[in-house]
Amino acid sequence: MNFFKIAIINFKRNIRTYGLYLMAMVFSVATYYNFVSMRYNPQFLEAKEISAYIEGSSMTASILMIIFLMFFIVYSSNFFLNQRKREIGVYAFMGIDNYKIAFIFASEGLLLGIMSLVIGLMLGILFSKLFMMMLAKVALLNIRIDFFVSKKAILETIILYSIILGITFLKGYLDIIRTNLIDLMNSLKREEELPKVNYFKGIVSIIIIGVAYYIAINYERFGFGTALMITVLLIIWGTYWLFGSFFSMIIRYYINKKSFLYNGTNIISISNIAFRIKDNYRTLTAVAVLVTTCITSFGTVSSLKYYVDENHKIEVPYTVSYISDNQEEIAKVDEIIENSNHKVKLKEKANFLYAPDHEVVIVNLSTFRNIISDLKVKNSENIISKFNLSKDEVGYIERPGVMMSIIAKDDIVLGDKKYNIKIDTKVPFFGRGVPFPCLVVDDDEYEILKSNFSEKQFNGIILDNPENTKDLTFKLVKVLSEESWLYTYFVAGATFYDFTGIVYFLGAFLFLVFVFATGSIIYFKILSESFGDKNKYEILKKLGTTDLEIHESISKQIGMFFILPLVVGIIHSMVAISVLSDIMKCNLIKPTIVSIGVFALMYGIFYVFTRRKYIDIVSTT
Amino acid sequence: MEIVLETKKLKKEYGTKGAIFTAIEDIDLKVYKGEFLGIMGPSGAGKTTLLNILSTIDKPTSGEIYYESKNILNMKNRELSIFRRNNIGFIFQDFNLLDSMSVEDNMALPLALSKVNPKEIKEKIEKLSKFFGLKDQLKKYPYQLSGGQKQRVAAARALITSPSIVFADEPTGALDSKSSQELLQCLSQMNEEFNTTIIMVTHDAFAASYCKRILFLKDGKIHARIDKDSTRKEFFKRIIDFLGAMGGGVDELF
Repeated sequence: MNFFKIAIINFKRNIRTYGLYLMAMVFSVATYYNFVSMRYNPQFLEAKEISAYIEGSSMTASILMIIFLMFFIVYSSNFFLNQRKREIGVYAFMGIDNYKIAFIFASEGLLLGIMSLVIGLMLGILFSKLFMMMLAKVALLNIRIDFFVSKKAILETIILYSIILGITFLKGYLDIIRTNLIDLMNSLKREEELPKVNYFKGIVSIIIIGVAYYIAINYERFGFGTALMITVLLIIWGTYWLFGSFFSMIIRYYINKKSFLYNGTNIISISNIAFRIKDNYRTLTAVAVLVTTCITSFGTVSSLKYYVDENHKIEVPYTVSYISDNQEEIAKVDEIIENSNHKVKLKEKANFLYAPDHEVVIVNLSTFRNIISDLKVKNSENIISKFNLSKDEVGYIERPGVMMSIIAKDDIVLGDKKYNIKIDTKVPFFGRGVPFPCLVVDDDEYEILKSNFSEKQFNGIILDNPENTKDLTFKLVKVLSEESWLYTYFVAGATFYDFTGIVYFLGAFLFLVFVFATGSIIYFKILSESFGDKNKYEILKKLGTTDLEIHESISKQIGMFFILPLVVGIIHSMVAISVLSDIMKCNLIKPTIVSIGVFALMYGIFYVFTRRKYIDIVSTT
Repeated sequence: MEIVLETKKLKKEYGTKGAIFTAIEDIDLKVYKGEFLGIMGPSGAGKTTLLNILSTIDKPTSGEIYYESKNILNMKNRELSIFRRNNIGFIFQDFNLLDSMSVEDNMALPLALSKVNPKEIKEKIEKLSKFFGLKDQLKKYPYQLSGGQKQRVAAARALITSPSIVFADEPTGALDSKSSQELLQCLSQMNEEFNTTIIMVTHDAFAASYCKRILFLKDGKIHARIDKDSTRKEFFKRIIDFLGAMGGGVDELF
């Protein structure tokens, strides 16, 4: 029997243990293929307006995938090695030298890798049409998607995975060559020591995270780029020490608090956690950071979508708007509207000043109050009450269509007077018909400023059935002059094509990949330790611990390792999203809750699988 | 005297039809309260099988076992685990302490699982650690202890539930002679002071000489029994003599 045959036999026998590994690999291959083939899809290449997005997300996805695979392969191969150490030891005892054993085991891994590559590619090709169709649908692209197999994408996928498999093979081979027989036989009996607790690091970790939050929230003071970079670094550092030391402190406290410890299965799970923390805190940190990234990025893309929906009200508050104080023109417009099949729901008239130097328009406070209440803006009273301006103060309304403003507003000089910007907000006002930021000033100040600038009249009309305004728009264009800045619901729809759809879809898909990555990393990490714990549970059983109690203690122990990074990650990402919502001037509670919920649900599924497998491993003798 | 443990026609077979191996057979046993019973016999005589069955870790093929006249073979798995935890103490050859727990937590484990009041647990730990000379080791972890100390921790853990029987499976097997002697003295003292019933399986005639009564097992059956009636030294001599007389030669027995 040659050694490759042994590898094949082993492989067949162990196919069940490889279940999740295979699934993760197949999924990653299929995803990778789809992201790459997206770049080569002929129909998408024709759709010029989105090809830049496709290119970008395709690249991002590939890089993320490679990072994930590196983590994943390290953890999973450790798991497999731990699982098989005794078997390897037996081969070694029978006099097979390390090189041959290493070859047997590494080829098994290689076989597995090749299998997942083939299956993954097949599935990837099979589902590529579905993937593209979904993408086209969310991107509102009116193109027909054909079934398409990209040879280039297949080749790229094969090359990347071949490199990765080669490295895995080499790593597996070297790992086994480096082990000694004695280590193999004793690997599971290794005596562990209780890690020492570093109180200094533990307390400092909290301070570091606090400082990071402070910087993030006050990003305006530090400049956005600097704040972002410092925050990310501090968060990673703080989280690392948090799990390394602060967490040990807490656990140690509970170990010494006997009234808690001596209460059912707590004694087993808490002691185990304390012992495992030294091996685990790096993983916990990585997982917490991944969780943060996942929730924040999914939160961002779903916020974007949410933002677009919300913003529609800000960008297009009127069905028709134009600038004119020519009574003749206004009468003509009214006539056209009257003859159309629309009913008028609201007619708004307002005077404003246009300051071309600053690219702003100016209205007085009374006008602002009228429009805000006429448009039935949410919390209108609350908003109006914030606008109690003194003589040298102004209120600032963001230009419609601005997504984020990360530059702090300074004072502004109008005419020859300097005004302090008291409040900065984003509310429906003129809409995109007047594509400038709007300053609100005190009524008396307005009269003074009037002499410096030209005054114009804004006309806004809200109609029913705003969707059918195509004909109306064309009629209105004929009667109105160029300077009238005509803007209608129809114009808004035609100029605003929806890439947020693409970003949302790709973001959500990447989120899925990330959750899968996070879940499988923690799965393999926890399970690779289960072999060392087997002995413990055997002792516990002999001492009369019931199966139920053993399951309970395992649930607690594993639950802890799942929940802790989740909680830390959620807190981090909530801070991140709150900063984001401040920048976007948009309330993001809803998308945040959704993204946390979706993440927790999928993560929970991983917990259930890990727990089941762990119990499986420690109960079989 | 009160009977703690009684067995009737205990039999254990291994293997399937055609290749049946009988490990023990026809074991009728009565263990009284406060006894210190030794079980000796050559390898393969069925000592460990008997101990596992008596200690409810394994089940017999046929026969009956009564603990304080309660038939334990009718118990369900869960019931049996709890019964084992509350009524039986174990001392194993390889200590079977949990590396992840401090000495005091190891001792507290069976009571903690039964949700006994933590104050009560602490008091018991206090008392037993004094008895076994472990007062200064309570905060230490198993990897910081010597073999003798570990086995004393295991003995303290076995006693903490005030069990009706303590089973010791070759408790001196992994200890040097000095530690062995210390431990055996502890067991003997435990037997005297707390009136604990102990059943000990051993290879070692020296260890056996601490018992009050010894059963010799051969080919799965009770071959003979001897009682201690004089000093330990004389008892030791009698055991050696008996082992010689039992045949098979001394070599096989040690």
